[in-house]
Amino acid sequence: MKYTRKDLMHPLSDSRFSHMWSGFIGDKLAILALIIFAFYCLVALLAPLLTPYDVNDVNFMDLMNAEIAPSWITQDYHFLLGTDAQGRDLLTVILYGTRLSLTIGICAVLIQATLGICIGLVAGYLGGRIDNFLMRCADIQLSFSNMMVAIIFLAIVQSLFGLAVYQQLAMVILILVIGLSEWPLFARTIRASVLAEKQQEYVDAARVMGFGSKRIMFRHILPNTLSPILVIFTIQIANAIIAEAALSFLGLGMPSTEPSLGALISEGFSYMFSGSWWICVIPSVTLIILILAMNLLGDWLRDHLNPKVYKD
Amino acid sequence: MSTPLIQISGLEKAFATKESWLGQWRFHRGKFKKHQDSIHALNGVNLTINQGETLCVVGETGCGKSTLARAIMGLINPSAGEIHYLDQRIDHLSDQQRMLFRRRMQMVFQNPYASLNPRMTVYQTLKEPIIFHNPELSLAQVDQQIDDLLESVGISASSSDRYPHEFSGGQRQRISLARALSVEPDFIVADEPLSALDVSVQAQVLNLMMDKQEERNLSYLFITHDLAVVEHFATRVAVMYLGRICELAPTNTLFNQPKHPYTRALLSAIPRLDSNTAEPIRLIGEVPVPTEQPIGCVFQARCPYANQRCYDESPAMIAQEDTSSVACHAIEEKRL
Repeated sequence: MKYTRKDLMHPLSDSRFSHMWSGFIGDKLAILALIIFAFYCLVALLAPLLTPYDVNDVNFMDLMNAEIAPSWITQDYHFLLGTDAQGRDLLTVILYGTRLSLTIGICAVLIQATLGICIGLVAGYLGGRIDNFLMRCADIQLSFSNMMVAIIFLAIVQSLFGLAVYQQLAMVILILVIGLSEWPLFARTIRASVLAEKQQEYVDAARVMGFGSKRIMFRHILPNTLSPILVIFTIQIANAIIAEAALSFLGLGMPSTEPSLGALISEGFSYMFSGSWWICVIPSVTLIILILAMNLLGDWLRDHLNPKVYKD
Repeated sequence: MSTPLIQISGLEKAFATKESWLGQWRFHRGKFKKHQDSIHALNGVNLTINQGETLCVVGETGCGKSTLARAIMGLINPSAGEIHYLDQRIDHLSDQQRMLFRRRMQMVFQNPYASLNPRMTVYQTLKEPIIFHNPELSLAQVDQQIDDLLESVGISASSSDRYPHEFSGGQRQRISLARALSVEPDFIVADEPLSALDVSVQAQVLNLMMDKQEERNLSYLFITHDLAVVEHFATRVAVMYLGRICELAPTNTLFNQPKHPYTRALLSAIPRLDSNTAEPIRLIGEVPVPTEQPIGCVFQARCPYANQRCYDESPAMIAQEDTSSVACHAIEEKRL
């Protein structure tokens, strides 16, 4: 076939891509951030293979081993980063926690993005009353503190279904809560770019062709608003992970049998002053590095996808 | 006698000036009144476009040329008046009903840098309308058609995988024309397609449009500022002023014997190489902003021949002996 590759084409054209690549190579910080992020993703994906202990093993949680300090203190190389209060190997738990945190972050942002993009496109393209209505909804949503909404919602779910059911569904519920609470950020940004793109003649040309609104919105306008979406996407993943960590820290997130990074920090916090600082500090450092890398990536993307801010 | 393809009668369009819902209320003589300012872009345009002809619309900036084009294409809804395609009325149709006419009427836009989607290759840009309007075609047929189209507008088919920004302005305008031709229309509205191009490229695009007209028996509604292009290209010319047509004439007649005072002023402003032509006619004043529906002749404020009748009564288009028609009281009263 002559044109088989065409539909797979990247929306960013070659020259734009090479421009981004050369900018990327020049920016040491961006490379470092990307490497760190890639490392986290890899580790999260391969967690079951990498961890020294099997989480499903009955002996994994052994109170006899509780609160063993990291290996460079004890010189005992059984537990590289020590163990937590339940006697679990901290390295294993952190790897699984990273996996959970990243999954929750990315899935929540996918929900945010889907909702935000659809609402933003519709509001911006159709305009008028629909626009007014949707944007006022966004304003109302933004006027609540996200954390407050999440806390209330999670508390209600916990008391309605009981702790046992909640612990099983914790991840899904967390993803939904974080995903549904921050769509206005996406919607507003998309709407702003759609308003600008709508004036362009290629939209008129598409209308003259008789294409429907849905086709024009998703096929013609959306690809032209991708750069801001990409930027918010990275920064929002960091925010979602923080939100999840905060909720877990408050005891409303992941259960301690299946801890995310936030839950680990929360759990370790109570042992902080009894001398077992590593249970809290090591997961914290893991989380901080992840968030830092995500934010650096987002910053760099913003600079390079927007020629106005881009400085040589 | 050529058959009329598009008939426009009494077309009006008023744009509401953006005011908030609350700002529309005015306090006047102890009462609140709702008041919405609007700009009257078209004030009763009557026009017929014949099959196979090129009708050029000229006029100064803001006189409603583009509004007329967009109203014909259904990009904006007219406030009043009717547009007929052959014998069917098309101005009040829904998007679904209009689909049939989308294939027949196409548009080429002013800015070649904005009228092609920057994230779609030329191939994708052309493929979408063809598949959309001919879902029965196989992929090979579509590819063949795209290659033919590109060759016919002078773009090599091998560059169909490139993005619009890799082409020059003239090439892009030719791609736009190829896109318009892709659905095989018989009427094309061109809204100042040459204004963003330099002169040598203008000639290329213009010649291409003329070739296509001959090949496919196209009709054009061609909007332009450039009177040299009009002289070269048009079958008939419509001169617009402030949302009305003031003179409609075959090209030769118009250029040799302009009748309406505005047309005379417009034509006398063309720079000529020979020095023995008369001084250009200077019009005094500016085009008024059409916030109110005009009473009387739209040109009254700047017309040197205006009398009381011109202020009171709006002139109708009156056919002259030489097949042109003019809307002017002075002409009608033989004062001019």
